Amino acid sequence: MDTFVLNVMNLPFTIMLESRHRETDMHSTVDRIHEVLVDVDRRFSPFRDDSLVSRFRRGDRSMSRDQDFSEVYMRALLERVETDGLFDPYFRGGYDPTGLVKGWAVNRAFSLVLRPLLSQGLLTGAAINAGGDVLFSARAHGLPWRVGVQDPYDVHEYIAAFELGSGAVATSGTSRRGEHVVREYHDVVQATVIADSIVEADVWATALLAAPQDRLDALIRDHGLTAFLVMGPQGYRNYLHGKPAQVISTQEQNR
Amino acid sequence: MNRTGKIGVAAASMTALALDVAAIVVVPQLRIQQSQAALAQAASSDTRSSSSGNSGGGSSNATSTPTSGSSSSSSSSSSSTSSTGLKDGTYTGAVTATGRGDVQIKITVSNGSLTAVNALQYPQDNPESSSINQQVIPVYVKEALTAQSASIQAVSGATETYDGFTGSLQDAINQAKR
Repeated sequence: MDTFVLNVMNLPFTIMLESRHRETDMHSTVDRIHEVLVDVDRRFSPFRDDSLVSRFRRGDRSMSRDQDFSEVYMRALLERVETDGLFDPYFRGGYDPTGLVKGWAVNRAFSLVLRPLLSQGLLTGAAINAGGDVLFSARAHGLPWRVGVQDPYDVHEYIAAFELGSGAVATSGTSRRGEHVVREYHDVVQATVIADSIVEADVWATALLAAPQDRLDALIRDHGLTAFLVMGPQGYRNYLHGKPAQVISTQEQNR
Repeated sequence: MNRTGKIGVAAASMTALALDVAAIVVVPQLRIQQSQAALAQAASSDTRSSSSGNSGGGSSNATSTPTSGSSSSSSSSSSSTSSTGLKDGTYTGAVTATGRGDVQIKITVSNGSLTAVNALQYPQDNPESSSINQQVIPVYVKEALTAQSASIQAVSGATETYDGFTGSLQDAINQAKR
């Protein structure tokens, strides 16, 4: 497996590529992914004065012909409804889709650059980890990916690990980046969501982090979520396709 | 994941869709604020049918969490009273082409209130994987695993910045592979 790290939006994007073909040019593949991410940042960053998002916030509506802007806007509003407003692109007053754009950008890079190579057999597996939110392709021969979840109390330790054939994993928590979620409740310390789509996983991880404790079960059940929640130093909750599931604790290993 | 819309404060913002579903992008933020203002007003049992007269403050703070009672009990409470200024019925927006597929929205208005928002069509992000992950995905809590010990390939965690990446778990894995 070849591993590359890109710095876009001040996020570390770890790109993992597997191939058995010598002719697969890994570096040009990574360059193309970089281009896609930079382009998304240029159009969607609220920190760039000339981005479409910044112009939209100033009242300019001329970007309505940009299909991607339209898609992100619509998606953001839909997710706001889906999550009962727990995910809110207007959480700071003005339109700010940043919480959704990161996952959307990863998915876009996957669709435009990696999927064609995967379907042609030039790659046998690929993953993009965008600062802790990961999208995985299926790997050749059905080998699973092994995913670790960071311990919110000690970022140098894992708190959970699991295997995933393909799909996405996203985690929200109070991080070194500080609170990027404006929330009324602080019942959930860290929320990890596993889904087919990285946008879905990311949005729900954000929503669950912001949710009050007494609504978690209903939200997760109604939306059939697979999630792993950290409620406190020893408090873990596991949900599988909407249903509470046992948290299986393994023996301490390798010590 | 079901795409059934819900009654709630969040849904009120989708009133904008009803007003010009076809051109969702040009829905100004003002309208969303108006619809929130409309909802706040409706909450004080005033069911005025026009949303134009209530723009008064317009300075809704766009709080990220809805007020307690109004959410997720979509079946029971049909009493969400954001007045949309719309006639009762079902409105279906035009199909909007996007880079990855077509998007189409349907909304339902009952008693002047927006009661449902549905996506009739929405491009799935990752369709080929959806069957694969139907299998059970166990999550094992492990304690004190080190980066090298678990043959882990990817780490999910709260968002990290690039500046703080060096020395992180994912960075340790990346380095170990080199």
